[in-house]
Amino acid sequence: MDIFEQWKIIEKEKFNHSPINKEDIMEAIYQKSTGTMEILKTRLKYKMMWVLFFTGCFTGLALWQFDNLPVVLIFGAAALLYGLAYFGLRTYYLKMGSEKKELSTLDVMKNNYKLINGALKFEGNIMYPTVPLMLLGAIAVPGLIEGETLLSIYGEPKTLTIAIVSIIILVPLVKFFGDKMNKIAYGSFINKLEDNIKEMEMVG
Amino acid sequence: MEEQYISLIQKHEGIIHKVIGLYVDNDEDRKDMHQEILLQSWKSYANFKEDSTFSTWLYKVSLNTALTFRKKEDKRKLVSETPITTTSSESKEDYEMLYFLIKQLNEVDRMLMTLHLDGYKNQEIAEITGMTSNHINVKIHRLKATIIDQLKKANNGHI
Repeated sequence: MDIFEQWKIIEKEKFNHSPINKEDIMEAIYQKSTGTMEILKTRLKYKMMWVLFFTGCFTGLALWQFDNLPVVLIFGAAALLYGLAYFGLRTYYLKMGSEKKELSTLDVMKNNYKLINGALKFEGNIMYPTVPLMLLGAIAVPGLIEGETLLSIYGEPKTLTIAIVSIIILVPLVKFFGDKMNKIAYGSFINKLEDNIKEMEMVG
Repeated sequence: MEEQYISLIQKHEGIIHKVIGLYVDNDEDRKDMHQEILLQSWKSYANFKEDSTFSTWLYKVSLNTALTFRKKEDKRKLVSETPITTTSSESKEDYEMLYFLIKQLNEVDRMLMTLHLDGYKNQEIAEITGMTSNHINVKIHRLKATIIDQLKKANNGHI
């Protein structure tokens, strides 16, 4: 028996002979991207849960000091902003992966790329401007609980200086660490998705 | 570049199907490995240098992907790696028997035997596998002897 001849029969009988076309290659790239898109969506969900948790905390604090109007206003505003952030992120989250069926795979990937970047930008736009307000509120809350007014608290030069210095130092720090955390949690996956989009565009 | 790649892949698609057929047994894994090989070959295509033939290059990428894929996957789902035995296969056709024996080889031996049967020279096999030509020569000699011996046994001494 000639094993080389037998091998030729094996090739005919045992292996698949279906042709490979461009769509198969695009599908392969897309399948890899689906995993990346799912990870991004899951991480966005975790972010939403944190935002919801803080919304609950601020609401609880407002309710705890319900008879103290300034405190209720500060924590109520914080809860409102976080609540808005939650619903904004939720809108992005729900849009991810629920594209119209007639969209091409490349368009789905591009759409998801746009949505996740949009969600992170939205988070930055709504969260970072609130940091100075939150700091002012947080510094004032102990005094407000004791019955002082906002004007009397910030009328003291020492408290005002602490507030200004805190804002100058902490706002950039919060932004720096926030961006850093987002880069760790999302950066590599967003880059991977971007690379896959480029590859798809080249194949297409 | 992409048109050239697609045309070359289509011309040599048999290599991909062969590697998949030899390294995975269930449809789900076949589909996954097919996608993985296409993806990896597309990603690596930019590094393809024409000092080797496309088929040699594609074999290398496909086999590397198959071996990595196997490491990632639950090994119990994949082809078993038991020593060659022919106890229950005596009624099989010759090619079935040969296929059975090749699939029973371990990953590396299966790769060497496949490349040899595909007509690759030892130097080319060395380029694909990274082993030395001498080592390949010895390995293939032994593997062929074992397989022919098993085929003889299955055919009651005739081959």
